Amino acid sequence: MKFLRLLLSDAKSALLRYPVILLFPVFVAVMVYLLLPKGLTEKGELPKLNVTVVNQDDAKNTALLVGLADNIELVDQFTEAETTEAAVAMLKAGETDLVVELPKKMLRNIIRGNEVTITVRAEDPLIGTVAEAVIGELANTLNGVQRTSMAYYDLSPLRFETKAEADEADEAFDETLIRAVIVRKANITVVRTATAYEIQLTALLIFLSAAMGAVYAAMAAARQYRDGLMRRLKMHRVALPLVWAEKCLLAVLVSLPLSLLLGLGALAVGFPVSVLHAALSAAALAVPLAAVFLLFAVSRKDAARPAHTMLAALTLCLLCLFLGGGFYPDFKMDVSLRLMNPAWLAHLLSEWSLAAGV
Amino acid sequence: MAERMEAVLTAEGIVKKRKVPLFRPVSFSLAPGEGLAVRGPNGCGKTTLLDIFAGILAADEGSFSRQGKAGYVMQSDGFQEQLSCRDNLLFEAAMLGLTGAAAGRRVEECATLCGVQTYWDKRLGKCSAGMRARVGFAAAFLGEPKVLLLDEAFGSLDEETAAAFHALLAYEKARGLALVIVSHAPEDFAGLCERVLTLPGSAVSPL
Repeated sequence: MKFLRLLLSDAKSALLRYPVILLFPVFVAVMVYLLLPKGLTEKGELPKLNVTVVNQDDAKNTALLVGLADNIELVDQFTEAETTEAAVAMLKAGETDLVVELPKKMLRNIIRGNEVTITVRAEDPLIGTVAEAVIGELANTLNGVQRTSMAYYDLSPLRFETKAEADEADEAFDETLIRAVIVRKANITVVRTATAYEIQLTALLIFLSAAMGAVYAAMAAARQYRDGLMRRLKMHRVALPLVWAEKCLLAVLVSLPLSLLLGLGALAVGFPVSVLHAALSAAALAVPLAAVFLLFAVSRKDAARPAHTMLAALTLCLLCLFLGGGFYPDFKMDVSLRLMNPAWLAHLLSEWSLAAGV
Repeated sequence: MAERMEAVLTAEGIVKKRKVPLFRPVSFSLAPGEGLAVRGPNGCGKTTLLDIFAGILAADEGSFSRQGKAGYVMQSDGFQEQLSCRDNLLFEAAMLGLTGAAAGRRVEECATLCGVQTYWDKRLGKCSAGMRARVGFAAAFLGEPKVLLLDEAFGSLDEETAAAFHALLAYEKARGLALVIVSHAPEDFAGLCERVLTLPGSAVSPL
């Protein structure tokens, strides 16, 4: 009863204290769905790369495969270097963006079904994103080569009487296979995945909704500490965990309609997001965020407590956005850093929301 | 011993420490219908002592016992400024365990008693300090307390209203309400308190 009463009075205070809270979703919707996609699309255009290949594989068909890279739409200039040291020197000097090092006996190992490691060097994080996409596509192609050749060699042993005969046939097959792949994949299209703005926008939608709810709950707590309501509650034997649980629920209650509204706005402009999943994600994220922000509300004992709470919470929001990849590619970060921040959780949840999108 | 049994508020060697003890150990006994004035310089722990009696803070040393509920007119009242005076009183009633029609009736009684009813739909944030103080008194009476704690409760009231509340408290005192009044103004204690507790020395003497 006390819990519900406190929740109701807080919710009523929320709307009366900040009527602007009703306008906030409109502001966020305009920002997220109309302005950001444009900015992100422009920013997200993948740059053309200068690629240097160090080919240590002496197989003649490898040269054909290397030539394949020249046809990738993202490659601007394509050069070959004799040694790794020379290629790295070019990288340091800014003469190339990406160094791809093909190991010895690469093609033979691929065709025989063995694991092959291709080393890729890049210094610019943005280039890393593109390289990831390029190499991913190359790896798919090579895996296709491997699957086809493995199927061939599974059948071949019974077809030849001598080893020389078999080796000759194998070599002919290898060349035919590589040429077939090159013809089929003359122009590789790289599917942009790493910086897809759909994920960034969904993460932003979820994070903003959750953060808004959490900040509001923390602000309410800070004001109540400052104004003496918490003393009054203590006098009435209302347990502190109950008050904190109420504030977390308040954060959920604020973030839920906000995320629903933003989700519906997203659908209206043709953005493929599952409104229900996004709202649930925001609600789930609002609880830990509110718990953290509430710590700010009790950390100071002066009249500036609400302002302090607001500043600290917003600073943490910016930090979360940074750690979550909002300003810096998250794949470059240490795993432990990712696991520590709620924005990364929002990122994962947003992928889940997108996967279930309509 | 018989006097102790009757006491609504008994303190035995109460001490509250920050880095050092705020005041010397406080001991007294307050019977129904008695009044105790608490005075002392700023920062000597007067509000802290009331918070201990209200159950908001725990004493570091000593003990106290209280019979029945305590009403508390706080200096910073802890009301929610966005809510109306009535909603604040209903909230207070809910915290006291009153619900439904019973809560509504009790709120109306106390609001009428303290002169809040004429403006009780007004948002508390828009009320004057005097109006807020009246709401504070009404909230303190809601739980039918045996002891009333008043922390600088008359400071924001005009002379007429202060006199009216003096009369009300004197009436309730005659009916058995015990009073603990913190104030810097001696006239606030007149007719309501028989003894005075002076902090930080904690001496209890007749007023």
